[in-house]
Amino acid sequence: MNQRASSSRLPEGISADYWSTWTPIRQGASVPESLDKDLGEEWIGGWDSVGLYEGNNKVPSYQTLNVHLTNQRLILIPESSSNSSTSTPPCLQVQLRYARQTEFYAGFMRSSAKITLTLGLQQTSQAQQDISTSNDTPSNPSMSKSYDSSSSSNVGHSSNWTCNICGYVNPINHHSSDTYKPLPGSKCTLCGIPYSTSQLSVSASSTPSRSATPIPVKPLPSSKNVVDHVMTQPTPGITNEDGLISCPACTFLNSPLLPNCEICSTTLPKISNQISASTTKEGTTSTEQKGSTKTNLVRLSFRKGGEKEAYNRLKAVLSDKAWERGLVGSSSTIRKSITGDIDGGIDGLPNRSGGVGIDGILQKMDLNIKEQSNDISEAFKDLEILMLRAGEMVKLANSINSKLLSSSNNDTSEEETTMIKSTLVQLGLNQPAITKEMIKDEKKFHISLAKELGQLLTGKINDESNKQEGLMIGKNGKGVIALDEVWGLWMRARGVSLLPPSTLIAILPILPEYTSPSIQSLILPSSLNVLFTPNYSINSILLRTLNRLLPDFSTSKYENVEKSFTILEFSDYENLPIGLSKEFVEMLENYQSTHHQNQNQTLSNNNAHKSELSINNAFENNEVMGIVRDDQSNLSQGGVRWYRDIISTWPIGYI
Amino acid sequence: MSISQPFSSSATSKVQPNDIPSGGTGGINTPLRPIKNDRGFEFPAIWSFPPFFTLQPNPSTLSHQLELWRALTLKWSKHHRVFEVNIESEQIHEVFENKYIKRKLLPPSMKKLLLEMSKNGEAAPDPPKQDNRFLIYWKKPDEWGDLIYTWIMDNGLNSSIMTFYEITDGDLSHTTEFYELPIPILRKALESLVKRGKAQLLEGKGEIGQGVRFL
Repeated sequence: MNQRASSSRLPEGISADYWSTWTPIRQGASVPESLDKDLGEEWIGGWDSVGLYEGNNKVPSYQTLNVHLTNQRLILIPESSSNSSTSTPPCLQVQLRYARQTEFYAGFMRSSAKITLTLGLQQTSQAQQDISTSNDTPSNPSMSKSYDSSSSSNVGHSSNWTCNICGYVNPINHHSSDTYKPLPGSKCTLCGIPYSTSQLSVSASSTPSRSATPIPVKPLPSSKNVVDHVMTQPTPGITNEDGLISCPACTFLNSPLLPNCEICSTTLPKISNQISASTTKEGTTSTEQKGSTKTNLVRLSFRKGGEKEAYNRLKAVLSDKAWERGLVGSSSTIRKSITGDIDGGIDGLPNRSGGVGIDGILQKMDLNIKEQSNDISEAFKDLEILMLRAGEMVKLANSINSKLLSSSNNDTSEEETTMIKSTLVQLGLNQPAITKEMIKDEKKFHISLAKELGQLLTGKINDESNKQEGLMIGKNGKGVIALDEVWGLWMRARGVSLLPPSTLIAILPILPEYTSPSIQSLILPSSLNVLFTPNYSINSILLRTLNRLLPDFSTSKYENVEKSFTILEFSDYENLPIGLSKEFVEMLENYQSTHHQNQNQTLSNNNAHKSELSINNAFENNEVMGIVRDDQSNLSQGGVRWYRDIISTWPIGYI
Repeated sequence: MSISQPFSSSATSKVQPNDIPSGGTGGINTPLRPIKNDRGFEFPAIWSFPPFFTLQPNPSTLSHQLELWRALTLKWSKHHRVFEVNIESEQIHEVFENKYIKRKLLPPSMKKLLLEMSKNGEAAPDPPKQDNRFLIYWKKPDEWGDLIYTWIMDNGLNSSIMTFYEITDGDLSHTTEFYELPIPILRKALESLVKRGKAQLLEGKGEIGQGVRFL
């Protein structure tokens, strides 16, 4: 696995500690072919047009790369340049187990999106064994590792400086860090403002406030003595003279009696362990200091996109840690340490000392959100399993139903059976819900869905009473139902095999065909979509309404007025909610009858006899087709009133 | 079904609608009744129909409604010799307000009606380029011009110079239809005569000084 080549072939700044050249398994073989399949290496993804940066500097010959991500390595292959004069530089590879930290930068103005990869040396198994034996305790290398990085940040190996303008924390190039200061010409990577000398002091321990996997400062409490280490973080989790504990996250001074911070609820460190542990810390740091090599910081600039996907996959690979599986033979202590290290760091598990101040609180919130989303996805997993079982459940319910029917007269009491039966009805449909798995053909699927919905809406003809009882037909049936309500009721009936609303919309056109009486859909003026029975078609409603408005000359209370109605009266007559009544009246009001046109034509046509006849007919047949409104009606009488439309049929000659 | 007025008799009113006292119920089966005012004008039954005073949202109904209103306004203003309508005036003309059913044509509706009438040459904004004050042309300016010209000829006043006041308010014109004709309408009528070469306008000082010579 370690195909380390001479470092001379590597470009400047690329540390040979981590990088090596890469050659395909044979000439012209693709990357996926050349992987170490024996070690379980798998190809994860590839992106092109990627530029390589070492620190903040471009690596000249590596500006158009194909990047390949496997579950163990990152392979950079320069795209063969068209002019053959310059020879293509060698391909590079880096083992992902060296990845200490990743950072994602989404791009700004003209700067492309970048993924920053901090490479740190993992102790070789030999070195680690040495340490563990010499210390005579199962020392935790990850612990030391973390101190390495944190202490080095103070010294300047990966020290930061904060930009005055945008506040972005820029890492300092480590290969030029002998002065522990950024180069005079350094510019902020985010906004491009040059570094000014007055600002280094601020930066030392602050963490970048942007999305980055936290620096692994703390291992998981995987072994006994780690517990001590946890308490010895060089974080503000210490007591001051008054015995107050400073919160590791927000630095608020809390009473030592409190388990959690009063301000941000972060768990507070305990004092008792403090003193004993600090000594241990000294020892380990010093030991590790020798073994550590400086980290190498590289950036991959994604010039043609794909960075998000690449970053997500990279993170997944880093948390998956496939290389550990490849190292089955190595000592268990190391494995543990790696696990602890990477878990605590890259996977971002709850990490108490993840940061200080607002950044720490934000990180904590982030972690909480992650945890919650994990919980939710797990919960939904259960639901999915339940959905798979739904068919069986319905079958079971049906079999219980049939058994009950056969044995109803002897064993169970009448009450019990009706109770169970009603729950079964409430549970859903007569048959198991139709699912896509049952019918492959899209059209047939929709037809059967339409039938299923139709049954729910119109019910079945009852043999005894010869009456239909459904959602829209029968005693409690509603003539008009809004589509959202239909969907809700239908889905409740279907139980767990839910359908998207789009499917409901898709079957609307064929619904009238498969329902009896045919149920049609209609979009009301407010763009509310409803289903209605034939009894509630606009024509039927209009005819009913006009019939009610016909003047009644037979009664004694003949008052020289036309009959009229208000919205309330309409909603009462038609048994519709007020909202729907308003919409329907509006539609009646705008109802365009062909008679208007005809009559206007015949009226303008002054040809005496012909027009007389047709008008006469129209009037005698009472062809008033429409309603008109009266806005000036007194509010105490119910506001706007509607009358039958005698305006449209009133001949001009009778003015 | 009781039809209040036999259809055939009222149908004849369509042929000469100006002469026969029409109104009625137009043959429509309605309990509404026409109303006669103290000056002998009969408002049609539809005038007692409350929605008639609300402009209808249905476009085809609205267009017929406006037609009915135009006809009614012209007929009424001719009967009462009303030449001008001011939408903003507090005094609403009788035709636009039915006190029996407490309904009136609100100013926006009235404006719409008058603009519609202007479009059909039945009214004109005066002064022009505003929409609150309108002249009602129950006779078109051309017709007024003809009427005045015939009267001039009949009275042998041609080739003599007359002031505007003499035409509309003079002793001779008391019996004419154009008695008290507003100056703007008169001017338009005379202008139509000028165009046809039958008159000549003479500019004087102010309104009183304006004169006309018929040729």
